[in-house]
Amino acid sequence: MNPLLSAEPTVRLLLGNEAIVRGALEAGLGFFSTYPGTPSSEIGDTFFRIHQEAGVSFEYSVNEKVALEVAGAAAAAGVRTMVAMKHVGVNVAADPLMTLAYIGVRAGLVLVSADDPGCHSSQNEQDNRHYARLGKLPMFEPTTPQDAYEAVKAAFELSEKLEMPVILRTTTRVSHTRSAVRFGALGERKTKGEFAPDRRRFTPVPAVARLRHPVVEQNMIAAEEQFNESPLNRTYGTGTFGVLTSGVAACYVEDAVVRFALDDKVRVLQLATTWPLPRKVLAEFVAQVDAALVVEELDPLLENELRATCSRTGKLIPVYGKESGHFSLLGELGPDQVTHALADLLGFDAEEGAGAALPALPARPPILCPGCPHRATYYAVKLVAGDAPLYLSDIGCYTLGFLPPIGVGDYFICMGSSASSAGGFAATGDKPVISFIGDSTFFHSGMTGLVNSVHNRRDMTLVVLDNRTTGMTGHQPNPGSGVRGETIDIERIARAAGVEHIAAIDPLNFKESTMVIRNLLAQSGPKVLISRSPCPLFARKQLGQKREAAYYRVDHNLCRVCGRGEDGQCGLETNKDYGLSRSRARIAALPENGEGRAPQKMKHPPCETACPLGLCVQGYIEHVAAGNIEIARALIRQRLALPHTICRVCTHPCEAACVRGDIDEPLAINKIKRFVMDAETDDERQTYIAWQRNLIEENGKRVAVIGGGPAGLGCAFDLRLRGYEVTIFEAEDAAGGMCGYGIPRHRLPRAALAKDLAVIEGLGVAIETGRRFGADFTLNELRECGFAAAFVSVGMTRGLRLGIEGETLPRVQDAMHFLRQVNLGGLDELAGHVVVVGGGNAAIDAARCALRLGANAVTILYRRTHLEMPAIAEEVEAAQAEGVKLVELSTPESIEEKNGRLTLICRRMKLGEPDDDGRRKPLPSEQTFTVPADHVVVAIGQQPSLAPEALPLVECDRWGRLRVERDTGATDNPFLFAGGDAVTGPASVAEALQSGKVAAYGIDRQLATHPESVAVEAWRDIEAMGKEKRYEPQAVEVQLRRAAPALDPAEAVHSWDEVESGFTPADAIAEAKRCLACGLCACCDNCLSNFGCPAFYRQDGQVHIDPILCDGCGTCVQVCPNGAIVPVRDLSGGVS
Amino acid sequence: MKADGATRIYLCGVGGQGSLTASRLLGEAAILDDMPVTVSEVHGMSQRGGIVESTVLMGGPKSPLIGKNDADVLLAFEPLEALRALPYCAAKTVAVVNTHPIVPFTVTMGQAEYPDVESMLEKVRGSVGRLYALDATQLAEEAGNAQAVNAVMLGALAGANVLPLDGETVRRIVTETVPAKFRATNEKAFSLGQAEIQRQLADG
Repeated sequence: MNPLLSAEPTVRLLLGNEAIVRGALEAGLGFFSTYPGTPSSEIGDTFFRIHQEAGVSFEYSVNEKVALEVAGAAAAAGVRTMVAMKHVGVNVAADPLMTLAYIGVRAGLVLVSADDPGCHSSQNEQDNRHYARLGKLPMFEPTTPQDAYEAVKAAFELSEKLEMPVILRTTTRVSHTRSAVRFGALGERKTKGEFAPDRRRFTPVPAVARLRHPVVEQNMIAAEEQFNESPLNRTYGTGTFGVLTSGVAACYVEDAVVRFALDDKVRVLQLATTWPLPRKVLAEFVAQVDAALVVEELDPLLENELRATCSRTGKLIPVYGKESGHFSLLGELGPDQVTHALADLLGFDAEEGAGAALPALPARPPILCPGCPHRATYYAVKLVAGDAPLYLSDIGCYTLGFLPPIGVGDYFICMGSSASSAGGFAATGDKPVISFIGDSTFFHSGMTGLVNSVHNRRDMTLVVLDNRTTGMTGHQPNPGSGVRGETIDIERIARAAGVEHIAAIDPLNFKESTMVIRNLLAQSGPKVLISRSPCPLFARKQLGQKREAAYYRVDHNLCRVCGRGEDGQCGLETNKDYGLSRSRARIAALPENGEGRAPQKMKHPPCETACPLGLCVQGYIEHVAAGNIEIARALIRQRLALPHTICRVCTHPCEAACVRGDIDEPLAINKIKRFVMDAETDDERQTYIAWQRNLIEENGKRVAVIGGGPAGLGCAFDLRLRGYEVTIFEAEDAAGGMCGYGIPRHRLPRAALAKDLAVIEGLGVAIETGRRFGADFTLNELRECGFAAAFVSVGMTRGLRLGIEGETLPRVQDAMHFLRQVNLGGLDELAGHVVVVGGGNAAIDAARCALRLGANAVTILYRRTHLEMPAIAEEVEAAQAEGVKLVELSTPESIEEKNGRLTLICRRMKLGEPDDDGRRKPLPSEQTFTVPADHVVVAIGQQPSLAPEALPLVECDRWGRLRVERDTGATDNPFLFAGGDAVTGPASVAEALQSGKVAAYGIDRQLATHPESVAVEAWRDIEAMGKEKRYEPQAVEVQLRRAAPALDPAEAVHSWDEVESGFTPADAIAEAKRCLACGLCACCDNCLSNFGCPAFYRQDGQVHIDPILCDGCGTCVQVCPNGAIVPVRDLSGGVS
Repeated sequence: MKADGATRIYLCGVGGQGSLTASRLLGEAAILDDMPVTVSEVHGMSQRGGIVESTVLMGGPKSPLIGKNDADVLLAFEPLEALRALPYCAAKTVAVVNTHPIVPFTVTMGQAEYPDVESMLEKVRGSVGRLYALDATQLAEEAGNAQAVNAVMLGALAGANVLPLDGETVRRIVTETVPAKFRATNEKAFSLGQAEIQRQLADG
């Protein structure tokens, strides 16, 4: 049996709130109602546990107003009744309270108001003693649990005698203090009464109210008479210095009096009945003292009453307290303040301590529990809506969501305010408004706000966090709990309130919940989202639901791992938005039904494997998706010497490899990269140069780079970052190679290349132009100048010839010559029909240049079909859109000139079996035809710029290409490394940069003081990378790739302006969001920086899950962008 | 602050460690020994991994709170919280501190750094009269249940001979007022804590 039900008198250690329960039981309580709220909750909770055994009618009401109205009726019917609430709850109940004084009760009604000076668990520290004055109601203020027990009994007696409610006011330190309470015997109780109507009393229409007011005033006089004689008010001490106190403050006074032996100096009046004021007692007190200190918490009510008493009695004494500055209006009192004030006024040495000074210590705020469904709901909403909305919160456990890392909760006032305040923000602002409210708070006073928002057509979303209980105050059931009484369905209430858009989610299933939330938020008008998942503590303790004994662990093969190995990590800071964006992508890839495991992430996503430079493509794409453009740019620049150039001219093999291409269309990776680079300001570029230069650790060694094309620039950039002093020797007037004189301006504006060159020079690379190898300097001279190695990348700048009759005729030229003239000047116009022979990028460039030079018509002859063309497909399409005619399966066999016109005699080809490079081989057919032309441009390939004998000891293949070691670029000459077209034959800019990067690594290995410490370029292991199982996302919503705006083809051919103008920021971010994030990332902190489950902790740079704290909810499995969280099946034994 | 013969015990720890139960059990033990006692607790926000403070005042004070430098005993369930409680301590204070850290989530998220345990204990040692440090969490695990930290701490407190109560009264309360299935574990945990402090006492 509960000790509170002990029939016999005894002594027990009781909480103040438990003492109130016992006092009420002894007073014959028959009915109790409450709405829980700290520090009052244990009164209700105790009654909830014992009411059946005690024979008391009990209810948890939906709110304090209701609780008091129910209680008022019960007491009017003649049943002794108590109603309990926290101080701000009285505000909710204030309406009935003010009038209850008028109509009164028939049996005793005691309202317990538990105040919270110091705001231990409240939104304000209002002083509810004002309510006694406002409502004209008697008030008791106990000091200790024993006092509380006695005050309750006295309050019932008085209430019943005067037939009006009485307030018992406690504070946190009275309600939550335990001490010995001596009980009396339990009395009889009555739970049934009969209400005897009296219309001149209980129906307070104005006429009746006017009649009742004098009754109230008479009651107050009667109460004061009784209080003047109340044994609960206590006087002690024999001195002449008065101390007036009440409530818990009286404890501090009494302890000080005992401790400093002040008994003969002070006269203490400790009031337990503080309204109406026992004026006789106060007058006697004033008569006996010659000064007084008033010790009370919060407002100076007794202090001013004491001054009034002085005035009334004509004995003016000094009154100390708040006004004199001895006490603050703020917070609660403690022994220190009281001792200090007494010592000051009485002049004794209290030997006060100052308290040790502390350094700043880590804060330890309360946090949502592991397994809390609120965290999951917040996370899901943030996944969908991000930081864009205004997030309103309300009062409950979920208020804690305002703390990092969740950070949701911009505004709330009081219980239920989220539902109504949302309307005010919606009416006056442009941001979407999303309000969060708990189930209990929704029933309490959110429902009315919702009706209001519907009625006034406010565009807002109310998220009801339905965890089936009142979590913050100790798991009291509410109307939705299904634990006691009828169960009320929130969804049906919302529907009945007229909300058209209602959805419900299981917050623990992100796949489904994010889809539902996205659809719901797309609607306008009032919307309700019900997030249903029981509080795990409540489910275990009260619903008896046990979760499977499982916990989760972090797989460190997947967490904080980069495919490049430890040394290859990008080293960038982790970023909150980045984590969220990768998490979003992963959740999108989860199976639709939420069952089964998510597809396995790859160590090397195919975009990275396909990139000749091994760029962390997913990394920069996801940073763009998260809006971190600067970080994306830093990531691009880490491995890319010519970002402004490559983002325009790359053949982007990454896009061909993109997993998204398996579903709809590959991501527009290169266009996103271009957006990132185009967004760079001059200042940002200068900042980057200064920052990067500062990171370079100079090693004092010099390397020469012969040839300033992409390969040479790439090698120089990488060597520079590795600490070498680099000089580029360039034969032409400017560095850039093919990017300078090969690629036309409509594809690569010269300003873009200039930015890249400026960065390379800015980092300290010297570029000497007009220095031709062989003619102006030799390898020996380089050695003698102190260069420790040289990198040769002199390219293949001479066009290949067809080897057919008529090829040397005037107006027949090779593409290299043609483009060089166009790009460097010397050829400004062209008329007639231009025929271009070939299918590579040079052919397309030549054709489009010809149009811009004024050609009437341009035809490309290609010996295979467009499907086999090595040119970038978009370029072929753009050329055709501009009017270039493509004649497939055709090859010229001779060129004739007649009357100033050229005629190409062509053979029709057909496709045979695939050859070595996988393309179908062109075979001659019987058919021939002729094509008239005014100019012919031959674009069938290039040959080396240098004669083989120019490089001693370097072997060449049969096409004159230099032979090098694949992984280092080393030639047989230990001084020489080589790369670029001179090694690979005509290749893309990215491939040229790659060969420069490889050689920079090779040179570093050779020249480094500690070659073993030079990290291997792990990404080079393409074969192993390619063997990884391809990521297989499920149920991805089809979303086609975005196109960037481009000039109208009819306009474009009349200018050299860049044809494509690049993504807008919104398009770039939207396109980046299409990324499925199929790869792992080591730069991830998502579980900590966005989800914030307290079961996670960090140790030695790794993330772990504490098996004791883990609740086994498993939501983190879906949250982890790397898929690195796995279940451990069985706690008791066989751990997986 | 002037001595008044009372014993003021300041308890602190982290939500979920059972320090509130410990303060209640001390109150029950005092009642059993007819010792006047006041116990004060903070409920509500201090749960859910937050800071939990409580006080037990034996021997007469009515006050539920302890003033600055006025704790006779500090019973700290966590070393960082022991440090945070130092303003209540003085040369008269006997501190019993669990050395097992519970890292706050603010530290996990990188907003702050968790101080080195040894240096925290040094700081506590320099601010109190006597420090008893023990890994109560490990001892609780040895006793068979990591949740029995409060039994270990109460055993340690009893072992330090600073209570105006018979240590056996505390042991009775700790073992007899809990559900039967926890009795043996609590008994063992209490003894381990008590023995550890008695060993430290014997070592000087």
